[in-house]
Amino acid sequence: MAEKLLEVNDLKVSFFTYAGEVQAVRGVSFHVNKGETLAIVGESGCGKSVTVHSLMRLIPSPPGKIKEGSIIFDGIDIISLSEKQMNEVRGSKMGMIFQDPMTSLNPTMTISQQIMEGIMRHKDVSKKEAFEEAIRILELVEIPNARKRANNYPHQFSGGMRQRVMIAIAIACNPMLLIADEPTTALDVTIQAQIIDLMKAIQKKMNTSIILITHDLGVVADIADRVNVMYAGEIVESGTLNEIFYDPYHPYTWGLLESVPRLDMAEDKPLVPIPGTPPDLLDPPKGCPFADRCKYAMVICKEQHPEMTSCSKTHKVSCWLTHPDAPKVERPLGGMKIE
Amino acid sequence: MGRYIGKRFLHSIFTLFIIATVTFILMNLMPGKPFTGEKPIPEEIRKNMEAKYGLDKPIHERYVIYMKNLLRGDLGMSMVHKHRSVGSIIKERFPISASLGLRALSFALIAGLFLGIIAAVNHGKTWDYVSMIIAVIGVSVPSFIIGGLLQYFVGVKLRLFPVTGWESFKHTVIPSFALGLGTLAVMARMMRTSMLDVLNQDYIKTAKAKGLPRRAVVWRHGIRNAILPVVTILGPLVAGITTGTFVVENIFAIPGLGQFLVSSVNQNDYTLIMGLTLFYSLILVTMNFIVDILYGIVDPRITLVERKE
Repeated sequence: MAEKLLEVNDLKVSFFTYAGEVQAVRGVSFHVNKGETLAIVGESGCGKSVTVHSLMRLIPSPPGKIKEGSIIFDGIDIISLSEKQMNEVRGSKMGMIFQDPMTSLNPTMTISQQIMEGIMRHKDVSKKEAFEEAIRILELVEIPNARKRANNYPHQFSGGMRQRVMIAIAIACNPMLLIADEPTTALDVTIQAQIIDLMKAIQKKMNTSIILITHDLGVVADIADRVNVMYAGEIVESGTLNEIFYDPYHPYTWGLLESVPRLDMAEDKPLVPIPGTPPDLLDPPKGCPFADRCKYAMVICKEQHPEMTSCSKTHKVSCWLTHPDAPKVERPLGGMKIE
Repeated sequence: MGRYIGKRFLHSIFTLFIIATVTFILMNLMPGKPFTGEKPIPEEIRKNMEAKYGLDKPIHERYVIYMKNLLRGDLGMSMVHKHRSVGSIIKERFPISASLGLRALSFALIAGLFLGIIAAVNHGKTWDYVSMIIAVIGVSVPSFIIGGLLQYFVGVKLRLFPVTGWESFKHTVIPSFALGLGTLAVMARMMRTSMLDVLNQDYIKTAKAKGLPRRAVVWRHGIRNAILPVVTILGPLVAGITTGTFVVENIFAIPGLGQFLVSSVNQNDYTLIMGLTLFYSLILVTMNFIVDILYGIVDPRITLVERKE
């Protein structure tokens, strides 16, 4: 059994706004093992970013607040740490890559300064040593001419190169966990592939665990070991890559898979969008949050929240259809086989 | 860099030329003439005086003569103040105005930026409201009211500082405060807005994710970026505060240059109007020039060198 690096239990995060309490994350539990990649997928606003920002306690507060739950990372209870203790963890044990490399780098500092900053914060090194270390990391993330480029400013780099610099900043102190919040969304497709390959290479070299947030199922298939599907602030299904792609149980996961083109799909088969919009998290429904958009919805779906049930050791789903008394429905992706 | 500065310099000269021309024309369109005071002067004497100052010539000739003199740096003789050249008036009085202005400015700048930063960092909390109340007061209460109130309470009642005059450092405190408060308010508000904007930027999140303490995030990543837009208005502000001292100079009986600008217009003192307008324009243009160059230094994204390819 793999060793757990991170364990999140029943995490609830809310934002207190003028309109009321927005329950962005509503009781999320998952874990990440050492050296594995966990992907969190779901549509915009489903709480994936809030979840991972909470892991580093980067939720702007106020208005945001971690209401309940526990985050155990490398044996430390993240939520109980003081801000000062938290700063020891940030950057050194956990690194984060953000979505938009164009805005995530400070425009008035050279990239070497920005990488050195983290190194000097967490390691007892001289400025010169930190600079050499920064060069080494820039070479690791495959910035050509690293020594020369180190003293350039972010605006002198392209988007893909900036994302490499962001990765360099995140891995500067050899973190055990790398959190990537939609690292490829702002990049074009060829660069996306390069960045994903780079992350894989770094993971291999440094044995880092990665949490990858994305709504790009192609990226998920490429890199993830396990997948959490999130909807309306909850995890609705979680399992290994194969379980989610080839044996999904939740109608929302079906919907996600049906709405992307696949190579094994008949050419004239249209993509199927998921109708409707996610529920208002100011006043979340008491039943299954997906019930309103689900074509298999039953009476109970709107009345009572489905429990998380295990389909296998690694596969869990929260849907009434898995109940023994539920009618058998034909899965829309019936033709697929587990490889 | 050199090319850019040269080009920018030529622009400045051209701006000054336009200002000189337009002022010259507007001034001559004003009703009244020099020497038409309250007391009527005999026709003959007036004509003699006009001849002496070259006012008997048509306007285009006078314009050419004035511009020629200007090129030699000669601003001419004042038409009202006997035996005083415009240059000597500026030389004597401007240092006082400038000193008052710079004191007010340094006070406004330091306190204003500080207040703005405090407000932004404590967004939505007590300190934010306190600094914004100060800023609103500063913007809405004119300097003569602040000046008068300070004179009465601090000067007359508490006897902490002299009420008027311009002799020692103590004399400069209240006027500088009164003059600087408006600018302080503008600075504080701008810095707050800019800082709030910057603190919401993604790169601040990146800095936090590195585990930097809050102090380092605010200072190293926040302030340098937030100060950029504030630098832009610094030019006009410096010029404005060093030249806009008229009211405060009057209240505190400070022998500065401000009063001359107003009285010269009232008295149709053509040479003095031209001289002071150009002088003030020169300050403004120079300040903008300096700020443009400064901006390129503070923000690495702005290159002052023109691309050749």
